[in-house]
Amino acid sequence: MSAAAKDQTLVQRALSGHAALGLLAGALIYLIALTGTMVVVLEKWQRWEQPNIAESIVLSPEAAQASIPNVLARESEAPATEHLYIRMPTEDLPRAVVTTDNKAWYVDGEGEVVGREAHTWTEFVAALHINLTLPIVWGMILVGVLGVVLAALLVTGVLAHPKIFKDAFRLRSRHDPQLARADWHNRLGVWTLPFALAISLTGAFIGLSYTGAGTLAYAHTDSDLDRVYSTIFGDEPEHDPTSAPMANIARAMETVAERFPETFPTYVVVHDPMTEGQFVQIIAEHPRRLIYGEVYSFNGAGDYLGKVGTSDGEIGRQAAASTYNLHFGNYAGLPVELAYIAFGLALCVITSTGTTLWLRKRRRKGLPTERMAAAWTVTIWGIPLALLAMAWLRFLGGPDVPLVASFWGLLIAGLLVAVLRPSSMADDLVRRALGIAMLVSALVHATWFWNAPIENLLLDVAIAIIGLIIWRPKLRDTAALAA
Amino acid sequence: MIALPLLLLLPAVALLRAGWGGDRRLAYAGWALGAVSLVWLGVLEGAWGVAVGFTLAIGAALVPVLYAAAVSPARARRDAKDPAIALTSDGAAIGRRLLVFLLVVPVSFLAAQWFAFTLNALMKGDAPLEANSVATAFMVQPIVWTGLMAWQMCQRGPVDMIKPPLLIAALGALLWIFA
Repeated sequence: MSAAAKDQTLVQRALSGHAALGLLAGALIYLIALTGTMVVVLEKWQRWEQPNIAESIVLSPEAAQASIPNVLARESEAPATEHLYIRMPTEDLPRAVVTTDNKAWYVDGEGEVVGREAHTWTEFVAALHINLTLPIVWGMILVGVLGVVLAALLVTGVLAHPKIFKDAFRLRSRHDPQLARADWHNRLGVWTLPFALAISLTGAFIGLSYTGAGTLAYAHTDSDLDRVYSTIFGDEPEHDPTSAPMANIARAMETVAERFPETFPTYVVVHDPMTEGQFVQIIAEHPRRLIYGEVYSFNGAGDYLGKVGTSDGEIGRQAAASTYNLHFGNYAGLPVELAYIAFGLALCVITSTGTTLWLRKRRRKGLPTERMAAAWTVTIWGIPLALLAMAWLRFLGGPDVPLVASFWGLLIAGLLVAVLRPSSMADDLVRRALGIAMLVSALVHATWFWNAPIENLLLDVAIAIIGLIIWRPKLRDTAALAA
Repeated sequence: MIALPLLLLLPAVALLRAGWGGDRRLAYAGWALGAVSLVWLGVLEGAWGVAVGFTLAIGAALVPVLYAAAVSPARARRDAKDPAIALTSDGAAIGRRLLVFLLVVPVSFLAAQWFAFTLNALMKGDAPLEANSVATAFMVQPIVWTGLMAWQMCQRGPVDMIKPPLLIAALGALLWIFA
């Protein structure tokens, strides 16, 4: 806030505050928006990364029960697992996955292990969105803070926009670049406002709940975070480590199917498996609800113990359980997912044009801008290019290549080059490189995995089309607006 | 049942567009129809219905906006004007920005956290922690912090930016007294 702010109107002060917040957090918000847009169809990326896994839309209770010894036999030399998760097959991901504390394995419709779950690139993209690849708690808190900054950007953006209704449907895309960018920034910002507020505040809730839980735990539960979270997400019984046969999850699954036939089980969780204290939870989706699911609990024998109450308990439970689907857009199938992708891309355009507007104003004032503009080019076009490079690295080097270090190293190197030799990071050059790289990558992937499920081919087609839009000379003016 | 209120959102957006720059009564009718449709969805399907309705409405509203972009006539470049955003580059500005950052991020975070904590205390009284008060505390914190951040960034300078978090902290103290 400058000294000149003392003479500014509310609109001018809101605009200055808006610009300051955007400059403070724009790059990280862009990274989170871009990866969040991708994460909307996380399961599709998982299939894209590992296309040649045998798929089955059904995992019967008997097959689920049989999958556990099959997986544990693969891990006979690993430490005993304290948790075991079976991810049930769905339309989005028609593969059952059994996850232990050691590894995760795909199993087929008979419960036989058919391969190791190794979608490390997909997980890396998700980690960028969820915690910026930082240690999980600190990373999620930082992303939560950025959610608050984004929400404040939206509020100050509205306050700085006195002609919000007068300009509601005006988009002068072929006017001079500054006005055109301002129109893209403002129109997309106004019309996606409910979406952006919803995802920023739910993201902030998810990330900052750690600080809230920490405060409440310090005050009320001797710093035991689990006791705070258990008020919403349910508790686990006392642990009894005495050895016992594996829990009867087949009976638990049959009980859910009989008692709650309208639900769709998505996860089976066994806590402390093969002990007397083992405890089974089945998370089941409820159609036409925002909640991620209801949690049904069973003992080791498969006797039904009750449910947590996320579907019909206190309103606080239901509201908290609804934030995740509302944030990730997975509550009404592909149409809403596609809408979230479109709105997410709009948020990327809003973020990128915002800083570009500031940079151009700075240049018009005669202040040095070249290095900043090159660094921003690396941020906008270089981040997706680096994500693509990491996908290549994953396919060529296998699932255990160090993607996190490689990505940040590549990005920092690109930023250093931008600052030291700005002319080498010209906007057109990096943008075209991204467009061509996307097109080539999609073609290579589709050719290499020609016999993969059709959904993979559709994703390749989408990547190729977006790559063409970014690269194609005739559309250059429009695509360049994003920078 | 849900199809009708969802479909009504499309003429609601069309009315909005028709009333824009023309007969304002059409725009008002569009807003009213949109609101009725969303309420109807809420009654039929709860929060899920409202979320689906908002998603459809946003998508529908973007169609005329993108159409405007597609048919926008080419214009000559205008002369550069003075920027609306004031830019400062003197040394003192860096210190001022650091002070603004401290007031907007850590100070307001603590004020919002304190307010959420005291609201939790007021809701639960002497009882143990339970879902409603815990979820409320989790949700109120980012909302209050967002409001504080926006409020502070619209102030004339760092001195004025101290007032919003102080006010929220004082409100929190009031809740604590009544808890």
